[in-house]
Amino acid sequence: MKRSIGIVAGLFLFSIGSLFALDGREVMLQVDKRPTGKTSHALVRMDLIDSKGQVNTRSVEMFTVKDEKDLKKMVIVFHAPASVKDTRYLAVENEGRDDDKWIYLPALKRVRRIAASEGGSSFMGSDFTYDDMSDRDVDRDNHKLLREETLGSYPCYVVESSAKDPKDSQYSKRISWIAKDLWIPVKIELYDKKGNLQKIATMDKIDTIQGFVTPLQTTMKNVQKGTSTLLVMEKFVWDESLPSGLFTTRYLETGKP
Amino acid sequence: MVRSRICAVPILLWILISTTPFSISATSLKEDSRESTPAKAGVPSATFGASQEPGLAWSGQVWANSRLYREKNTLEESVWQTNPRVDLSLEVKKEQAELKVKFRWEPSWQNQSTDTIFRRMIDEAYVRGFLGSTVFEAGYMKVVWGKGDDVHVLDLLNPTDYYDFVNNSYLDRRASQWMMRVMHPLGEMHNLELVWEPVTTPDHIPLEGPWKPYAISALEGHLQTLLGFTSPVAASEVLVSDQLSTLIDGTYGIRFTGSSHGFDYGILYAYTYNREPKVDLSRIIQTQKVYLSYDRIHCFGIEGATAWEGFNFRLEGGYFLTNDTKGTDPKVRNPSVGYVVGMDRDLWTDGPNLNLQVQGVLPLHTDKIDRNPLDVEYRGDGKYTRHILAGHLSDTILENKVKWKVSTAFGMEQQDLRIAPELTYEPFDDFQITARWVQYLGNRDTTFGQYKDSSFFEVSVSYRF
Repeated sequence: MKRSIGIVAGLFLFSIGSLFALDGREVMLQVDKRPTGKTSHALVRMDLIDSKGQVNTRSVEMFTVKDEKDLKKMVIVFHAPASVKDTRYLAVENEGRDDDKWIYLPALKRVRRIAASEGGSSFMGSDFTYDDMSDRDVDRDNHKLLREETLGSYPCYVVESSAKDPKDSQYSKRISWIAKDLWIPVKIELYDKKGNLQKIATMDKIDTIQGFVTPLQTTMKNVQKGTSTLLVMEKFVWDESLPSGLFTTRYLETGKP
Repeated sequence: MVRSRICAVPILLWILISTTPFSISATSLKEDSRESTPAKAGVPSATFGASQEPGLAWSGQVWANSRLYREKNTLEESVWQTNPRVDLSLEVKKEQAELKVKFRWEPSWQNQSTDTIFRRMIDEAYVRGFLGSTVFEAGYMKVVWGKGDDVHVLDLLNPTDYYDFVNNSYLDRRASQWMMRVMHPLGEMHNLELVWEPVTTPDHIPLEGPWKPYAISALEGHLQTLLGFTSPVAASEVLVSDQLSTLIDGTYGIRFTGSSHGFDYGILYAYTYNREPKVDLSRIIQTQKVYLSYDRIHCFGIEGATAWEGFNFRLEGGYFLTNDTKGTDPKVRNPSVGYVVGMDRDLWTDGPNLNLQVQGVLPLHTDKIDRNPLDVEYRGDGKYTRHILAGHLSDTILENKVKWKVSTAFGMEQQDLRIAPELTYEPFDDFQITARWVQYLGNRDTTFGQYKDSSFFEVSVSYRF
């Protein structure tokens, strides 16, 4: 069974509690094991806030589906601003090899495969990277339970994760605050390759949708650049019936599932 | 006979679709009819989001540039040219059909012929219909074939409009073509594509202005000598196209593409024309006209792309078979092989992106060309292969508000060069100010060197809506 967790994708997931003492990996496996809908569909607003406080707004639509092996496919459709309208992105998670990723650029009128390493690139100029928007296999990282502490109103496990292969991640390590009652990360610190704190992701708003705990607002702050990105789920649906043709390169080109 | 051919083509398309292996069709239908997951009871299946909503949508761009063509001797004689442009796209979406029209207008076109204005003003206009999972498109449109990044040998379906040489974007220099296209999925990750163009249109080559090719100027000089005229001969007055645009002289293409285990691949066949004209001077004395003609070609192509260790690799290769299979007919181009090999990668995480591509064209039987100075492909220097190394390095800085890019293209045999550094400032979304310098270097008879007097500095402003 594939074990994976992503910063944003992981925030969508549901949790079950555990009464037993856990190590870091087991905490992250619990996060990963949270039952969710088979599909998700979100209309997302991204506010990009620069170091001077100027806000640029993006609008994207995200679709995800998990197959019987728990491998995920994700499509992102860019709606605004006009310069990126109708750009479409497809990521297909694979077992035992890098994800397949394609992007359709209307200005080129063709679907272009992109390398997995480009996941370290900024997502639409935001403080999120493409990898931040994707799942990450739990066993690609070493996890260490640092401590337990309360963050805001959430009793949390604090877990440090670092890639087993340093080349396999854009970060040297991540420190996650996992809410014990929800099995959901409510804060993540991301450290650059030199070991300096680079970004902080915090979950600002959580709600229950269709019986699943769902984060509806997340902030990613780049402490080095002084920029931040607010990611707001304006609409969100679990288990919507999605046509399989949606998760194909053909959809990227035609916009029709 | 012509009539029957016209009717036969759409029928042939249907036959090809319906005769794809039954098991594949059945799988495809089965997969398309199912949904990825059954909806839970009580979960609405209706979707949301702008991409799904039927209705009318419009968008566009206002763009203006001011270009300084640098006079090499005196700055005072340098020429500033200002050129505004408006693009407007309309899109009507219904459940099973879409209409897309893209208009473009540049005031500088007002001196062009009506045909040229129409061709450039209607950038694209086509309908798209959905029958199950099969997509039909018909109209005046642009279709890009091949895996290269703006450098192709297999993108055979549209002519190139060289009115700004290669200084505009790739799609802007592709001219639309009347065509019909059918795309039929074969499973989730494979696709069969059929294209029919009733008329094949040649490349559009400027006969005056800064992007008039050196070959046209040389031809004018040659004609003046040949005809004994005392005044210069204008190419626009003597060039005559042969009857290329007849109903049976269309383009037919079939392409199969797919993806598996991290590789994207494709094979294609196209029966079309080499859209670059040949000059026939055999009737010049009697008619005082220069006839242009075009070679029929069969293209057999392969393409591929994959990503490995942070590199994006891509490949196009084609065999272009002409009617001169042995290379003995001096009036017909020889068969040739063309390819594009390229890669790109970020130099480091979120760092500059380096993109390098090599385009090669290798005519076959060049020994026979070299023995006959009257051969249409004959060159005095005996260099018949063409390799261009194209690349660019780009990145964004200052919180993604500034993008820098340096583009180069180097002719390996001809030792000519195009280099274009540019800087784009985007203070807020959809509004851009760009400054760039485009320099051409090389001898007059080379691809880039012919435009060395047309090197320019440009400032442009654009706003998308």
